[in-house]
Amino acid sequence: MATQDYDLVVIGSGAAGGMAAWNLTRKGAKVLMLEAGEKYERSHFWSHVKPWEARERRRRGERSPAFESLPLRESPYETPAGQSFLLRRVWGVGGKTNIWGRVSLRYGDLNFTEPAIDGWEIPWPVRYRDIAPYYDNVERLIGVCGGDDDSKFLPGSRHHLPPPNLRCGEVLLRKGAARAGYKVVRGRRAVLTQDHNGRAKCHYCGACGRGCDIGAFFNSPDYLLADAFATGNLTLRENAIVSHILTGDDGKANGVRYFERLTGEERTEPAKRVVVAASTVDSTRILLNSKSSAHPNGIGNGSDVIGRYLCEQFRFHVFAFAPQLYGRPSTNDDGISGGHIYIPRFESPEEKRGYLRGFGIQLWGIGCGSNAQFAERLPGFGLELKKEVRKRYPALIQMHPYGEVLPYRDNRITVDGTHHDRFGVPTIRIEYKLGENERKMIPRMYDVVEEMLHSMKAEPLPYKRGELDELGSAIHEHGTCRMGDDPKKSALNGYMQMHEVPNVFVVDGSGFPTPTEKNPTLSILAFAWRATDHMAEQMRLGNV
Amino acid sequence: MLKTTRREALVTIAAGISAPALHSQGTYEPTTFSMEEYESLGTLVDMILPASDTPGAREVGVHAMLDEDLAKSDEALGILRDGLGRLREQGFADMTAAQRVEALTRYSESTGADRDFFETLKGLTIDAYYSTEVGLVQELGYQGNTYLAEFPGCTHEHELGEAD
Ligand SMILES: Cc1cc2nc3c(=O)[nH]c(=O)nc-3n(C[C@H](O)[C@H](O)[C@H](O)COP(=O)(O)OP(=O)(O)OC[C@H]3O[C@@H](n4cnc5c(N)ncnc54)[C@H](O)[C@@H]3O)c2cc1C
Ligand code: SF4
Repeated sequence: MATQDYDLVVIGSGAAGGMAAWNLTRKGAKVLMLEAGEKYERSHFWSHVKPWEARERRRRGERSPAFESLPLRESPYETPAGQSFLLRRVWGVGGKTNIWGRVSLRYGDLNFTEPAIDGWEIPWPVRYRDIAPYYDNVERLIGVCGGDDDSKFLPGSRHHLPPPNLRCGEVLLRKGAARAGYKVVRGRRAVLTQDHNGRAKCHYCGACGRGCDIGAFFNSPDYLLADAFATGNLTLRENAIVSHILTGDDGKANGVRYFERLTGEERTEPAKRVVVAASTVDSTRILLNSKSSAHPNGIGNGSDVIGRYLCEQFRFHVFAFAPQLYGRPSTNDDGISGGHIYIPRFESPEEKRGYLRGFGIQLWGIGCGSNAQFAERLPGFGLELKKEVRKRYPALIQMHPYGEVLPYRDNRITVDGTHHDRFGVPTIRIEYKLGENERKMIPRMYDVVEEMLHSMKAEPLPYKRGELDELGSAIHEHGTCRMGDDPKKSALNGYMQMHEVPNVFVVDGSGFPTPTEKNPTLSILAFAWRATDHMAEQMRLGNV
Repeated sequence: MLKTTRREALVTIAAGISAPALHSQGTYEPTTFSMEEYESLGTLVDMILPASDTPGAREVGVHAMLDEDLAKSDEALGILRDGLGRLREQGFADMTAAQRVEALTRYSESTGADRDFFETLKGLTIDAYYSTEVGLVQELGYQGNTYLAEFPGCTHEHELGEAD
């Protein structure tokens, strides 16, 4: 095998790995990509299968792609009793970008500077001005629709595609929130509202969560890997579950070990450089399992920070009805699927609030949907219930606040070796809970939601103040391989290069020292682009 | 939140279930539930969402859907079985329509296992019924998951402005 021909190995083919492969292959590097799962055939997506047709298909024994089943089977995880963490993963070409929610929000300079201002926990090594050009690049490449708003909480962009029109409930919510003093902006999503870079625009079918049959939202296979293949420089090996990064006597990476999923065979691939992009939790597992005499605590982990400081947002959901819409004729409210509006964070660090950081509010699921689950929480049964469901169906409002969780040293992923996958590789344990800061933020989040609902005269479905979604359900894990300027407190430098192992780059969300209140994928793409620019330059100079 | 009093609701519910219990799944053979359980389930789902100007839950075969869907479930199936068992002991099959409404109302207002049974039954019935073409399209007017050249969004913004 002419394996030595590759300049580098990329682990994972999602947003981060896709970007790394795209950027490095176009610069001429020969890339081998190892991916745990397989390619999803677009023609197998159930994008245009209505709920009742789905049942008919299942009766015939047909199945839609089981996006999330493989990692649970191959790489189960544990949590301490009474401390659950919902880890959602997609193992397959493109990873979670096949079904992601597409919300694409720039981090602001406030997000980057706040940890240094409030002292929790380490500063980001990057400022907005460093990453802004990459946000521009990414938005131009993938296509992000949105408005022309611009604030210190959510920086604007000159590259947005036109935002979709608002649904009735969104119009009412925007007015109500404005009356209560809150600013509602256009949602920003990586959905093509007009043809872009030769790709056809969205046809507003609302099926994004099942995969888009025409690729009208950003996903790594269509938007990144296709170009990378076209260079002739990308080799993709599917069903290759990477377990270890191997190191030489000099402590540098010199190969990776992986298992062929279909045959169970163990393989070793020499590697001059390694780009780790298996998504936060799986990347962390690989790093921690890569123990050697040079790296007894896991590769690049002399600082003992890898696996620690796991953080993302916590969230909850409040459902309500806009009485102005009771009994209205139903409308097709699919749009680009998900909210067409967003309420950015509005609290500054200078304000005295009793807690650090803040929250933003997402607003998906407003209007006529493809189910009536809200009815479960209406009282009673019988004709009266049925009548109420019909009346309220066009009037549904949902609010989903996301609050930033501080990085805590003991919120962590470990591989203690008590449980193994079928190849004998240790699986992970996740210990994660909220702290005092988050507990103080929760009542304020409920207050704000209530103010807005009150102001728009909405009638909420019963909810319990303080109730939260299962932790983990934001699906935005960060922190476990964080970047920073101080090698004693961080694993990566600002270019996502390991302080201790210069020929290893970790380019996914594990490198982010804080989660912010926002969804991360736009930022993951921007950071991975910037990191691999740096990597290519270092390769050219002969430094890595 | 509902404006109608419970008593009025009960009357309309009772009227609802006195309609003939047709169902399109007439030939369906239950495999998860026994025939007796299945029959009671048909009555119950129709009490939750009865026929109105659109067909009710029994007619669209919600009980057959539950029989299919619960084959591999443990928790929900157990809760339904236990509840159906308790109703059987109370002579559910021989009750008049009004007595059945009374029994289900009691379950809905109780706590513990009876309440769990009611909530589970109601939740499953709602999810199944509103996933059918009758429930979603005919009853609710769902028009989604189709191809649009443009997304019009709210077209009565002006009216809404006056209403709020
Ligand atoms: C339902 C849902 C909604 C979401 N909504 C949003 C949103 O609105 N906005 C947003 O910004 N983000 C959203 N996200 C999160 C978003 O999908 C992720 O941030 C993004 O995909 C992360 O990119 P990644 O490359 O780090 O990981 P992934 O996209 O998950 O890719 C990781 C890849 O690595 C592979 N892999 C894993 N382990 C191994 C191994 N051992 N060996 C080889 N390969 C391996 C996997 O198979 C996978 O292909 C959502 C996610 C989900 C599931
Ligand atoms: S709504 Fe648009 S982006 Fe989403 S699946 Fe349909 S066509 Fe694709």
